[in-house]
Amino acid sequence: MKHGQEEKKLKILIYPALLLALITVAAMAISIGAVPFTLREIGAVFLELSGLPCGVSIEPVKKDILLQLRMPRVVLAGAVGAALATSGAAFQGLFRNPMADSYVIGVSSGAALGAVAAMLVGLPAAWGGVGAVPLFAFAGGAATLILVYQMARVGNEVPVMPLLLAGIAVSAFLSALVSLLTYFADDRLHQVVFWIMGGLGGATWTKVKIMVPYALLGFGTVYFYHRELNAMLFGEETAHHLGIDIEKVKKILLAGSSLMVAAAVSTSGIIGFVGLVVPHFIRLLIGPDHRHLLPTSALLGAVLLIATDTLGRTIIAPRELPVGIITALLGAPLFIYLLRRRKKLRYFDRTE
Amino acid sequence: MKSCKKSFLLLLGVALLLVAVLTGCAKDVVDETTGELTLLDQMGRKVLIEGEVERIVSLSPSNTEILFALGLNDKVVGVTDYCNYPPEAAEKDSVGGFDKPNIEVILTLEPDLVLAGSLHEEVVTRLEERDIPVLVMEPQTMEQIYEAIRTVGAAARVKEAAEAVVSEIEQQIDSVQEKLATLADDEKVSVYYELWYDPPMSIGNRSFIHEVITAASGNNIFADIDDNYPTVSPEAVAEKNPRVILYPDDHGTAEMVTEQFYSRPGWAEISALKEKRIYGVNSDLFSRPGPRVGQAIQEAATLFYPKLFDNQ
Amino acid sequence: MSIQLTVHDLTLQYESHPILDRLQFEISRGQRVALLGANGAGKTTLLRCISKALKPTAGAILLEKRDLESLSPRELAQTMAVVPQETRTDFDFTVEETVLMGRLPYLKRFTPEGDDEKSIARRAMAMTGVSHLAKRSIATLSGGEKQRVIIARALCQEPQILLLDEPTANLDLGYQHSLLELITGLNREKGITIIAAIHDLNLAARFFDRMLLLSSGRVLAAGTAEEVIAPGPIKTAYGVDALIYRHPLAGCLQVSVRNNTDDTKTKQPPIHLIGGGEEALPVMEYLRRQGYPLSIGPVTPEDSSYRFAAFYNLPVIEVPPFSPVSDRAHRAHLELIKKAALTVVPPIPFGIGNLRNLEAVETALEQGSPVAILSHALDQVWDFTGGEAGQILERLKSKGAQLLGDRSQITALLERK
Repeated sequence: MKHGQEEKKLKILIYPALLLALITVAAMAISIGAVPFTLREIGAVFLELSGLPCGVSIEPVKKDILLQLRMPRVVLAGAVGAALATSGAAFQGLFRNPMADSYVIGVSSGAALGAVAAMLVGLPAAWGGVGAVPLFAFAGGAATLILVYQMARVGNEVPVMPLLLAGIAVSAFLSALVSLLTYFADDRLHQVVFWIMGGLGGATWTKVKIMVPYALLGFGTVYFYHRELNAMLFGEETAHHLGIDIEKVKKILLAGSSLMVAAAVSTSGIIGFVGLVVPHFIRLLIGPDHRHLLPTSALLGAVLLIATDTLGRTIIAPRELPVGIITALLGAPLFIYLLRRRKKLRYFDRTE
Repeated sequence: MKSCKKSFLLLLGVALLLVAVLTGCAKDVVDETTGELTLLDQMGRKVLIEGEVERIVSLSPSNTEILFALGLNDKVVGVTDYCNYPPEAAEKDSVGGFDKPNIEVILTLEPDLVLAGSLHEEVVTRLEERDIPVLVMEPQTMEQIYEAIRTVGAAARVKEAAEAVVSEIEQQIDSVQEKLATLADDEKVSVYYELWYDPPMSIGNRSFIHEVITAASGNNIFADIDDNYPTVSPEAVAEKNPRVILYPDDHGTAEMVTEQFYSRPGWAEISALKEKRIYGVNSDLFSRPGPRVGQAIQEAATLFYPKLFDNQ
Repeated sequence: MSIQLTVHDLTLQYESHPILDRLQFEISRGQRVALLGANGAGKTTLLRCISKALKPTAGAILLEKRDLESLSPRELAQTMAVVPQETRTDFDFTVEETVLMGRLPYLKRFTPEGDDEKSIARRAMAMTGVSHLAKRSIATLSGGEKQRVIIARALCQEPQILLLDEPTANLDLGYQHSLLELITGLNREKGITIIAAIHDLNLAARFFDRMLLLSSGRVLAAGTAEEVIAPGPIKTAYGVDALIYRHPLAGCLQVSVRNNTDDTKTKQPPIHLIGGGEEALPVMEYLRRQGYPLSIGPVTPEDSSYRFAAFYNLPVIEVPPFSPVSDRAHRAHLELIKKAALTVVPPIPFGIGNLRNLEAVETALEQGSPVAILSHALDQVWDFTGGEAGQILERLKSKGAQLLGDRSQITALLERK
């Protein structure tokens, strides 16, 4: 009985808590870095932007760094974190598998292949303002989704087990190709390896403008079906019995989630752990209802990635630690701690 | 009279043509009125440098060495963590690692010239967006080293210093190669340069180290491989029976490394092991294509043919 | 009653093997139908075809003359609700949230669940007796509670037809009955047509008014319990010889299967019992379980001892009811007693009808047959012969019959001999 009330309280509190965390972490991220900014300086820049007079002046170089480098990076980190966390939650619901994450159907491996191929061929860094690497990465991710889908489908239906297996197989194959290309990378080796490790160093407003709409579209698509995702947790047949057109919903969820993943990976490489753990974290706090799970996962994912990216670029400044390393190093122990405290992750405890 | 005018015009035409051709061929075009300089860097990019250069950032160790060799140390405001030569370079402000220099820090240093490597595409793009001149210089052969020195010299308006540095290097190499010229073909030693031992990685004919060794009259046993740093099999090395083995000396103490060589199965009969001609060399010196190339060739030649360089 | 569901020529092939083979039947509105059949007969498959979880290879299913194919998933869910055999619950939805999901077929996409929906859910929970569990996580419920929650969810769909797949398969005794009573109540009060695949023939006969027996994907028998639960169809469908009888208390048909093997242990001495009255049954059952070959003394066909003997194929002497034991029967009785190593007189009542059995025992005792008497409970009235039976028993005791306090002493007695 108590469990229900506790969860209800958390459900109400969690939104303002996460929003507060997001604002705090974003503010810290903007101010901290190899080039630090004081809050006054940040305030001054924003005041100037909005046309209001301000007393503090700020050097043009610093203003440029703040607006053109630091801010897009923070925004991109938030968007990527949100996209990864939400897609992870969606895949976990779609496959009814707690081990599913954003990369389970191989979109990341395809994106990596596209990116590495672009890097090795040496395509120019500025293509349509974005760069060949993100475009090829996105194309690679999209192509992989189509490939995996075709492999798994039976007529007009796509059963989830074959989909999962096809994803694993294709992912492994493409990863092997990526390794092969990496072997021949020579002087591009560093670039390839660091891209794969994941990083937000190359953030620009252009990248943000391209990534965010896709991520929003993906999120909207998935959130549209939050009730269906809830019902699908009981099994596809149950969902069907409750009046859901299960094949249509599956396809749309797949497309929406993959869109988010492709958008994230193509702009920032492969950042692991966020898509897997953030949804579980949230579930431990507020339960499995996707109406709340999806948006709160997005918020927490954004907070997490902004925080870890900030950490990554300050620990050994001016050098940067790849963000994927930090998400794993920080996130895993935190999750284990929560797990031990709540003991409620019922996925691993079938006592019946 | 008419023929005189004709020939004069012809001469003038040719002269003008020559001037045009010569100026077009010139790598740097100086606009006398504004003092602007347009240079071509190693990637063939046209870089515009306005006025004097006072604050230089270097993103690669070889470029840093060039800057210091040109006497521009006072103007250097930022280097990478890997810029360790000369020792004074390490005291300059750091802009990060060689792979991913921190663009924010670079911008804070307000440079008016940045020397980058081919890895730094992203950074270069950012700098170009802000009209900061970037020269991408990544010399990989001796010719390219000279070119790089000259280009940087031109950019910093120290052309004479550049020529002097180039001459010095050439002289150093010439004096070494003079002595080497006395060698008969069969006196030349076969050389195995081991970059890494597990798996063994050596140098192919595209690498800079190969050029250094060849300039020092050594025969790279893997000269037939069209690659930079191929992975090779231990059997292949044993079969080629090198007389000299070189390794970068940052892999451990000399005793440790040589011991390691002797413990390898099937290598006991290799000449270099039998004659105990296994030498550690400074890896920066040998693998960094920069102004110290002459020194590298000299060291190599001394190791290969000690009798020729007795009095050094 | 109007016809609600028509299954017409329904066929489902799976790898060229027909699981459903040109099934044909009709169900009227408001019926409670039990789908019977052995495992693999096609019950679950049929249910899944009706709920459109499976697509048949051929044939059609009509709902009020409309082809099921033409119904959208939403329409179907508003008409039909399914309670599966098991529900995965490794996540923490509350009971209330789960039940509310039953409103999915009616919800508009951007409208949150309103008060109307919530009150429907509350009523459904009240009807199924799970209101007190509303805030509990379904992962913490027992099997029976979970089934009720799922039924509540199904009720929220406001269905006209409720399909259940082995609803009692994993439930304890108490829950089995309360669940079936609940379903019966829903059918009677709300007129919901029930189609349930039932494993247990006895429960089906008790709670359902129409049976459909499937065998190898075809309808073997359809109709009332009397028509369907009969030795012939059961033999075909289940491959066993069944004994059909009436439940002595509830009055509904019940099925039992005879033993195929003879579980008497060899080398056990045969025991003869005088039957007559239910008090003999426990002793007989006990001795049979110990492995003794038994024979039963003269009893009428209505006597439970007679039915016991018939069921286990034991030698028994039959006498017509309401009359004393005939001479012929008496002689046969004496024969049986002589063959036995021990004759046991259980604590049964004696009247004019079976008094002669006691006399036979006395005769046999005089001729040397061992006799054991299980003592009658002192406060029980068992002598309806005006004292004669009691006198014979006294004489038996004095002539050497063993008086035992408990049936377990019989074994000891035999071993001593």
